[in-house]
Order: sequence, then structure tokens, then C-alpha cells
Amino acid sequence: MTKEDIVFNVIVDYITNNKNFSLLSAHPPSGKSYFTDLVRIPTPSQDRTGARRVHIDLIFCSEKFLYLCELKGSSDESKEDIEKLLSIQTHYSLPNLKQFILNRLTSPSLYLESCQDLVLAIGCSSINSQLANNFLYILVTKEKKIELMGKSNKFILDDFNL
Amino acid sequence: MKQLTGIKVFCDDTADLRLFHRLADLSSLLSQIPSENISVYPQLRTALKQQKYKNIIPLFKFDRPDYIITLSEKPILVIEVTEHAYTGDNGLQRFTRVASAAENGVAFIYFGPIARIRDDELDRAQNISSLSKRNLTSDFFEGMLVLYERFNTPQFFSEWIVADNGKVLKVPLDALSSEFEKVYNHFVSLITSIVQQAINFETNKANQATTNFLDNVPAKLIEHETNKANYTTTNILENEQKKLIELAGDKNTKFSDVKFQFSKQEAIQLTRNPQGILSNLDTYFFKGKPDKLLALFALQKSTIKYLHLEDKIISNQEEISQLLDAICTSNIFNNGAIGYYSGYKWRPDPHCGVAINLYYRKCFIDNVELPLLLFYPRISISKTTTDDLLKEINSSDTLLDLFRSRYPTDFQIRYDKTTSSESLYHHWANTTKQARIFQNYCSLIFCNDGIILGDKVIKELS
Repeated sequence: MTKEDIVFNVIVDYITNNKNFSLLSAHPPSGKSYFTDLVRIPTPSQDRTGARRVHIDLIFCSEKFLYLCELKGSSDESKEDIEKLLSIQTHYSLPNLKQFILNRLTSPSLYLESCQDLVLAIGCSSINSQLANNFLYILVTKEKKIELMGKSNKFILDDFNL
Repeated sequence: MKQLTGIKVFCDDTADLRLFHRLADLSSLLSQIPSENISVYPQLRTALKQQKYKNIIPLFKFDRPDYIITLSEKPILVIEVTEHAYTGDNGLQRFTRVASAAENGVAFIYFGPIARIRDDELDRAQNISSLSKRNLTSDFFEGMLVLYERFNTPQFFSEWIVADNGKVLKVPLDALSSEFEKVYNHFVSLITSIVQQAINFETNKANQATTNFLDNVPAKLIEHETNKANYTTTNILENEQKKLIELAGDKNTKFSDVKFQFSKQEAIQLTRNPQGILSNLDTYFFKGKPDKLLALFALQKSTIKYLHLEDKIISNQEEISQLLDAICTSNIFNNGAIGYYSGYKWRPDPHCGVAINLYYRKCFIDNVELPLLLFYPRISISKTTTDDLLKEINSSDTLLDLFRSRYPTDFQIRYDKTTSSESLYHHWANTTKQARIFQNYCSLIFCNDGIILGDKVIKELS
């Protein structure tokens, strides 16, 4: 298993076992997503053929926040992911993004309608670069525990039971 | 609980492994498979070094199915699970796995949606309930039916049901079994029936008149309707096989722009002058995706500078001429040929599956096999030719002129975008999956700078 596989499995297990969260979409490194919907979002630069659509590794939400999370082995590999998430944040308003996701779900989500803020996140197993402004970093430790870095607040910590 | 120690389940990936564990809980039979017998099988290179994978290697030497189930080390079932129901020929990309199972006498189940709503239509829709679903091509089911009849190996389809938005229904890993049953009940019943049938056969081997448990499922069901088999599981499988026959008969495909039937004379003419395929493609290059023009450009420049024979590349024109004469005067084209044009770049999907599907559906008339001719202009035998094509794009306006004639107003934008993508042209590499598949099923492969002889032609000439 690659570092990214491990990061994916640990964070998915954490979210699935945490009652504060509802996992909406998960795109594992293998591309096989048997247990959650797979939401692909058109890129802002999409041409008229509609062919350019990107997936986000994990989309999950709590009562307060919608989390868009990209996963990597280490933080220095996430430059393109950060640009991708910022581009989606700029292009879609939160209500539009929520509606877009809702249209693609096959089972109801507990919190999607209530959440009112967007959190952009990077999940990784090592931090070896400067943290991007306004990004939450979900760090998977060697002991396969979760630690948070970067943009955080009391409510986010509450979501993660930290 | 009794354990089914003789059953092993080989999974493509950890995601498949997790799903199988969850599904096995729904079946009193499958839940008896010991956990240690359910594992992820290795990549081909690793598997070739280990004796324990010897019997399943033929099932994934070209392409990896999601599951291979064995009983007493003998493969009994191959399963493909997909949430996609691609439109057009893209839906055929997994056909390689179906064919490999049938060719090796192993039953096959395809679990996926039969129709879905396209993502781009969902993107644009104001009201998703107004959207209509697009069907998986019936060529897929027709191909399964041909394999079933040709190899006498059962082929089954189990539908992955979709929600109102046209997406397949997903069940969270931690959901109750009753939730899983709503989506997977039919699929699990099919797997259970086949495994049970195999166990029954093995248990009663001494009393069986046949040598293979699959022989209990008659190949010509229509002719055997009154000949009910003894096993309940066989009846289930018979009924399911009938459903596939119905699906295969429910045609939803239109005429294809890229698949052709050639007479003997046409096949010989194209072998001597592959560029002649342009006359069959007519308006094809001027509709659909702009990168078709990359293939048109390559086709217009195409020549026969090389012949590729296994690991040998022949460039001597006299030798090439002699070999072409040998091909054209042999019996290969006696009954005509089937042609397939691929404008794709160097990659395996979807055209490997499309070619194999076409091969089984169209290349057999009674017991006569017609050669499959593949036209693949973006690929060269020599890397030098690929480099020359790329240089020519930069040094001349020939390709730009093609864009200008197709897109009079925004040709420059489209040209820049199309030519900025990776791997515009590529050269042949024997070690790749697509090379192995095409050489196995296609008789001749017409590249940009020459012809690759498929295994069948090499055998015929030797």
C-alpha cells in the first residue's frame, strides 16, 4: 500500500466512525468507490464538450462545515490540489456547491443542508512544506491517529472530537 | 459453522476485498469461505513467479477482473463489478476480461448498471428528474452471448440498480445487511448459485456423465427448454442465461463509423495501401472530438516503411514487398475481413475491449474466421517516425490547416488546446497490454509507418 492509500483508509475510517460526520463522496487511489457516491465536479475552465471533470478525494460534512479534502503522502506533493480546491471555492458559491453535490448523491445526507461554511483540507502523513493559508491539514500519524494543523477553530476541533 | 476451505477468492484490489467480505455475509454459503482464503492477487509479473497463481494467470494476463473464484485451485467464476455504464464503444472497454474468462472455460458475471444519466447532462440540468438514461451498448451483451455459445461457458448479467439521479445506489460499509440486500441480493444469489453448482459437481464427480460442472447448463437453451436439469441452482442459472439472451437481442446500437466489413479484394487493396481507409471514413474526421484531426494528419502522412514481425522490424523494401505478396496471396482474406479504425492515442482503453468484442461478434461466420484489421494511425513502429510527426506539426501548417477547415472561426484556440495534450503520437511497444491484446486478436495492425503482423498471420505464414 502506498502512503496515500494509508492516509485514505485511516481518514475514511475516522470519518465513518465519527457521528459528527457524514461521508458524501470518497475517491480512493484505486478509483473504486463501492461504499460512497463518487462526485465529480466540472472545472471552472470546462469547455463546451463538458469533458473536464475533477474528483475530490473526500467530501464530507458536519452540521457546520462542508469539507473538501485532497489526500497525498506528504504535504509538499499537494500544490496542484491546493490550486484545484481554491479554484472550486472561487467558482462555486456554497449553496451551489451543496446543491451540485446533493444532485449526485444516491442516499440522503444527515448534515449537507445545514452546513454553512466550506473547509478546504489536505490529508497527508507528513508535513514537509509550508502550510497553505486557510487550509486545514489532517495529519495521519505513524500510529494511524489523526492530528489537525493549519486552519482550525473550536468548531472544527469539536467535529473531530479533538 | 462448516468452512468452505476449497474455495478461494482472488480480488483485484483492497476495495474489492472489502466489498466481498461484506457481500459474503449475505449468503449462508459464501460466509463459510475462510477469511484467509479471500485475498488480493498480485500484479502479473509477480504472479508469474509463484506457482499458486498458475491456474488463474490466463484469466488476468491481459486485463485484471475484480474477482476470480476457484474451487480446489480450479477457476470456476470471474466477476466484473463496475458502477459505470459508458455510452457508445466506451462501454466495451471491459470486454477483454469477459473474453479471457470464456476462452478459459470459466463462468462470468458482469455486475453494473444497464443505463445511467451522463455526468455532463447532470452538470447542465436544471431539473434532474427530466433527464433520460443512456443505455450500455447492446454490443456488450451480444458479445457475451457469442462467447457463451462459442465456449459453452455461462455469461450472466446482474443489474446494479440506480437512484432517481441515474447514479448507482451505494451502500455505506457500516450499513445494515438489509440495506446491502436491496442492492446486491440478485448478484450475491448468482455467485452463490454458481459456487453451489461447482461444489455439487465436485461432490458427485464420480456419478457425473460430464467432466465439467458447467456442462449442466446447456449451451443452446432455446433447444433445451423442456430438458430441465436436476439442480435448483442449474434452473436459476438457466433462467439467468435466458435473460442475457433477451438483453443481447434488444439492440440499441446504431451503425458504427469505425467498423467495416471488407471483401477479399478490398482487404488486399488496403493491405497494399492502408491509407485507402480514408475513403471509408468520409465525414468522420469533421464531427465529434477535435483530436480526430491528429489521426487524420497522421493517416495522410502514412506509408509502409516497416513490417513488424514479433520482435523483428523489417525495413528492406524488397523483403517487405515479398511479405506483402505472401499475405495477399495466402488464404487469409479468402472470406473477406473485418476492419476497425482507432484514432485513440497510445493507451489500452477502450479500444482493446472494442476490438475483442468486434472480433467475437463479427469475425466468425459459421466456422470460418475472418481476419480483423486494425487501423491505428497515431502509432508508429519506429520512434523516429513519431518524432518526425511531432517536428512536422511545429514546422508546417498542415495540421493547423485541417483545424482551419473544420473550425473556421476558433481554429487557433482548438489547435493550441488539442496539440498541448500529452502523447499526441507514440511508437509501438511490445511489452504493453494494448500491444499484447492487439497482436493476439488482430491479424494486421496498420500503423503510421508500417504494418504489424498479428500472431494469427505469423502462424498462417509460417
